[in-house]
Amino acid sequence: MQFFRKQFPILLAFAMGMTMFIREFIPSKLAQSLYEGFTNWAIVIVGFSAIFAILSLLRHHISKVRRKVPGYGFSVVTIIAFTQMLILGLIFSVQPGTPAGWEYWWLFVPMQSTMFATLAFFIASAAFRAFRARTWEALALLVAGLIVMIGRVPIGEFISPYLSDVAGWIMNNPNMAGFRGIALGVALAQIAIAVRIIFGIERTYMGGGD
Amino acid sequence: MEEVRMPGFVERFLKLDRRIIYSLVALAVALPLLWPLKLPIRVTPEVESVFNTIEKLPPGSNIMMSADFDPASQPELYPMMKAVMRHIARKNHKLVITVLWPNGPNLVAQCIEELKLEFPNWRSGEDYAFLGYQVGGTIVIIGVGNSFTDTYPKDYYGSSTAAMPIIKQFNRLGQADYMVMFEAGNTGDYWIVYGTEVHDVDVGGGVTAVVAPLYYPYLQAKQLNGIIGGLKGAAEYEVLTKVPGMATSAMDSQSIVHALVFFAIVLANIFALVLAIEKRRQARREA
Repeated sequence: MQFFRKQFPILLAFAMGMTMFIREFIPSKLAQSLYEGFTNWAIVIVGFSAIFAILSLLRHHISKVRRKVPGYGFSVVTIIAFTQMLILGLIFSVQPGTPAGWEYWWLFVPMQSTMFATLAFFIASAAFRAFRARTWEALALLVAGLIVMIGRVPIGEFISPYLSDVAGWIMNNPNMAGFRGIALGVALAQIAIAVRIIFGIERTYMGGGD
Repeated sequence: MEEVRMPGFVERFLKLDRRIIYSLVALAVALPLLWPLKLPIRVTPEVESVFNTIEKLPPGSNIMMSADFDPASQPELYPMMKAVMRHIARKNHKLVITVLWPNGPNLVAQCIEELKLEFPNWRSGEDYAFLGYQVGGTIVIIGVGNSFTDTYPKDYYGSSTAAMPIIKQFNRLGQADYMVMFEAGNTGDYWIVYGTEVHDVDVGGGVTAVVAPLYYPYLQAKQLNGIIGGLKGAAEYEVLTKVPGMATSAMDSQSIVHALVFFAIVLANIFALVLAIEKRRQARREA
């Protein structure tokens, strides 16, 4: 059993990782069909993992209700909302015009939009209180932020057409340079993690514990 | 140390009750909707680029679209998606639509229903194929690079994709003449890395204002040929298609709210500076 819990996943990750890596350099039909087959497998596996995620979520909330932990009423709402949506979706589908579609349009959409819309109020209040130029770096950030904020809406263009151009320059140059650095860093880290997983150095994906 | 005495107005302004700020934001949103200012909307090159690409493609070209957002981002992304889809339908291009966010498909379905009122002859399976949601994220992107029918055996409405006339001429991402993606997060990164770059397809991005900065590096690297950023980008696209919609009507509200926050921040900083100077003076006097 120990072999299937520890060595086998590492061997599997190594075999699959190396196969997919080598395949990139073999322009044959067999390599292509192997790639397509693995992609279809992956979709099925991800589908199963979604089912596990749903079951895990339900187990978590059912356990909270059983133990009557503070705020377990929210878990009751989650379980009821999930179960009824699942039943309605399975019986009538989820398309517009069905009961699940009605719930989507007249409950879910307004609620989620409202949650997001309230951010405008919080951001306005937080920006007023916290967005202060206490250092030169903060001043640079503040000036750039203000120019982009006002230059990207019609009133900025109405005040001066140059505001829009300056906002565009900020987005296309300093902003782009910053994000490109982050993107390159993330890409290098992803390559390092992939190599570590393939060679069995990184094992956290197998879960914690023994 | 003695407490600093702030000038009365500065003190009151810096300690402004948040309910007053909320009320001002609410008024700034509501009033321009009731009494529009009709501020001119200038089209930026990033948006014009997406429009021109779709405009210049010969009728019947294959266009791939991915709508990766949910109702939280609907106010920004729905108007631009509708404007772009209207443009595609008007030009008689073939459109295949996927969704990688589980709460997104109904938004696309609604958009299609609304557009069918404008284009009654726009038919599912012939002019467009709405494939719906498929679980898997990057795996789905890799999958549609191989074949739509393998990745989506059935479309959103439950019809077999293999039997669709549109899929017979357009069955994988590599056959697309152009792609437009609507993104509320970083799914667009994966479309570029695993999809459009691999299959050499030009792509334009419609993104929320908050994630737009993430996509600018791709624009300059020509991995994106245009960006429709936030509600302003949607309004620009509506200007280009000459069909004003929700985005255009919301532009005045957005302008006034931005101006309100702009002046609030500037004033707060000026007053904070006045306070800091006052503190320094007082410290000197005490010394």
